[in-house]
Amino acid sequence: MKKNGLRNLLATLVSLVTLLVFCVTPAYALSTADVTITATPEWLSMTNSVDNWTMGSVAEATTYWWSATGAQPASNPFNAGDMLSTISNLGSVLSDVKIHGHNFTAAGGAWALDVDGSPGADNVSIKYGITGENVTTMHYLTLSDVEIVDSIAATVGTMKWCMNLLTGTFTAGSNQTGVVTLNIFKHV
Amino acid sequence: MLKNITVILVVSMLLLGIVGCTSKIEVPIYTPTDTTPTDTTITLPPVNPSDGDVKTVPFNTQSDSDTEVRLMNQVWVSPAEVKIGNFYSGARAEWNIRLHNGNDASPQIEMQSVVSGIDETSGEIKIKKPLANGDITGVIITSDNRNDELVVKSYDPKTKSLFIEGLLPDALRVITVNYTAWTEFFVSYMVSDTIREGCSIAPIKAKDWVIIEDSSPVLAPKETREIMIVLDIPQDAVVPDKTWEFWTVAGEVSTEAVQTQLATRWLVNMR
Repeated sequence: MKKNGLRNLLATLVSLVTLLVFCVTPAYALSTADVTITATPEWLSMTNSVDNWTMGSVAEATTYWWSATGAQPASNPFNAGDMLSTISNLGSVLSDVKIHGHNFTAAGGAWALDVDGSPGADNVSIKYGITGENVTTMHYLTLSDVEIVDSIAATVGTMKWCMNLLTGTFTAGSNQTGVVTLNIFKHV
Repeated sequence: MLKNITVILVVSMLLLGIVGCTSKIEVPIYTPTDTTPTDTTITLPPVNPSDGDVKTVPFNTQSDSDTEVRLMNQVWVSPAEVKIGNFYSGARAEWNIRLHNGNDASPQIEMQSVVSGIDETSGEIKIKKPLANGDITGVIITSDNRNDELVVKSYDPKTKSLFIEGLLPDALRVITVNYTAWTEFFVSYMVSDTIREGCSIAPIKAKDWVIIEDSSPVLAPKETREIMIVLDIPQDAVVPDKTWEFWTVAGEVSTEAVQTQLATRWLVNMR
């Protein structure tokens, strides 16, 4: 009886070990797939020809232009000569460019970026446009990235653009600082 | 019978060891070329999940290519895209992006009012841009208070502060600092809704998994700096999507109204 009991125990052990081998091996097999890191030697580089916009004192509910003449372009659609700044893709890859704004900063009564064209107290809205657009097709700048250029050629694709700013009403007379960010990335 | 079982156990363990623990690192040789870009791939050793994190050797696409010669006077980042394959929770991957400063050193003149307290003869003054090479010998500091005898003793690059001595106690003056600055950059993590077809936006937690070795590098004129980006997903992290994308962006720290940044796309494919 003892011999039979020992055989049963051993048989159970063998079964368990066999089961263990089949259960565990696939988990280890998964780990044999290598982690890989792949990169192609490509370069991102861009310039934006005009990077400043100093407005001085501004009035409430008034539109100010960042364009070649400092005023609303007369041509419809905009032509290249109406635009103030040129984005150039100096990199080695076909790329897209996105744009986003930021709320302003100030010692007091900082302006918030309005995104629907009806700026209220301490709000401003900013619109941007490119060659070929017109006043009605310009886009509101938001806090989120939005594509301003699709497929700008490498070495050297260019695109000209302009902006305008519509003030709301003010609760303070502080100096305001605003930033617009352009972000270039590989086109897919 | 007992001997047979022992043999089976030993053979099983050996098999497990061979299947689960074989490791190799393949680093193909990369020959730089502009006209026909070639992928550079590193393969990380397979890891038994119970072994914990795997760490890669940072590998870079060093290049003296025509593109880099052409872009010598521009700010650039390379590569534009990095693909990480067969990744999993508990793994760690490292890759260096290359950031180039095409700017020259810029002369700076800054003025500021400084009040010294009773018995105060020294103090720190902040400058706006990074001091070139942290070299205080090139700093010229003057005061409109004739009783000051100002000397710059040290520079703290973290706070961009000059430690000066020679202030007349309990006095007011305007200090003018002449110095040469290098360019300060930022490198940061970003999620974009522009993703490849079939990819998902990076999980919210991913910002904690991406480690940027130096997020505010200061580069000398025409310097190219390698900055390590690490993707380190904790072993217990749940990654909901098999394929996802995050970005790292780099650009000059600027006070201008329109600022530019360069985004490297990172595509992660999970097992």
